[in-house]
Amino acid sequence: MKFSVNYKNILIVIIVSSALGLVFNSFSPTGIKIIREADKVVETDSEDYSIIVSDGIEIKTVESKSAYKFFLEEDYIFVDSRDQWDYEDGHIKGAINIPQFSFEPDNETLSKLDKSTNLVIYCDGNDCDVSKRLAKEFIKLGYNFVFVYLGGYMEWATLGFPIE
Amino acid sequence: MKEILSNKYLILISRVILGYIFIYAGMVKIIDPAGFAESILNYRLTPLFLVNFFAIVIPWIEVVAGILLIFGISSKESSFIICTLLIIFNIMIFIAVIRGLDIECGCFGTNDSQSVGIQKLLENFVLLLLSIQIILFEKNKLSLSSDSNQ
Repeated sequence: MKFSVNYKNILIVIIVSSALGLVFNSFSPTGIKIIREADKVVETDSEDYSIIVSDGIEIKTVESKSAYKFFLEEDYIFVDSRDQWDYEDGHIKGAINIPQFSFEPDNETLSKLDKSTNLVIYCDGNDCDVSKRLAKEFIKLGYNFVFVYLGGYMEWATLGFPIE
Repeated sequence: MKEILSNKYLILISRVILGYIFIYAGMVKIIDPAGFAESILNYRLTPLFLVNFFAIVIPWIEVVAGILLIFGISSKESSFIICTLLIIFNIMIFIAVIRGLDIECGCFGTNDSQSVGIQKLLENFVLLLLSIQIILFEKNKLSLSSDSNQ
């Protein structure tokens, strides 16, 4: 039993791996910015939603009050971005399930959604991010009316709004 | 006990298990760096400007260290890197558990749906023991490194 490691080799492995990662990232279609910027809030005249800029994409976010207002208007489709098990355990009444983790642009459900459809996307609550990520996917695909309900299912259920 | 732990076949098995797990864990994160960045962000422990950098670099360190470990090249050093990563991961998971954060681990990308918790800590602890075994007992047998075939 002997503790002897070559620290020079450790440094070489880390530097080479990091270099590979940075080079791969710069050529990869799924590559991301090396330095992350904070989500910025953009001023808006609307009382219904706020706008945040995340990774250069503008996302409209709504609070529970506006989300419920949209829910009552009925021409908004609520999209549950969580996995199917969470969805089956309970979701906002009438919501459809498009799990973010298995999202594909040629998704069958998507083909039924017109680009001008009003979408309200949510996940569990403030700690989850899949709703924002799914919203970005929709926006990239050209959907124009995408909203993210940040409070998510937890807040919705706590407020006693309709679930199923 | 020492003889068992330093058995060359047992060490080979430990290397392959640890190497395979880290190659797999790294690959799924390389495919979806944005997802891994969000996972890191969820722990709320890393400065924002460093989140993406770590999301780009860490999976490659995992994969390279895993490959070197399986082939027995700089096994002790690769295992030391993996051991350090596991300690950092466990500290992050432990803090998340203490703070009551109900977040996905992100250990195997964003598709594993494993939440942080005691089970994850124990899993990592077992891997940590394997890495320590390799650091302490590996004698570069059954490996491709220069002093193989001893």
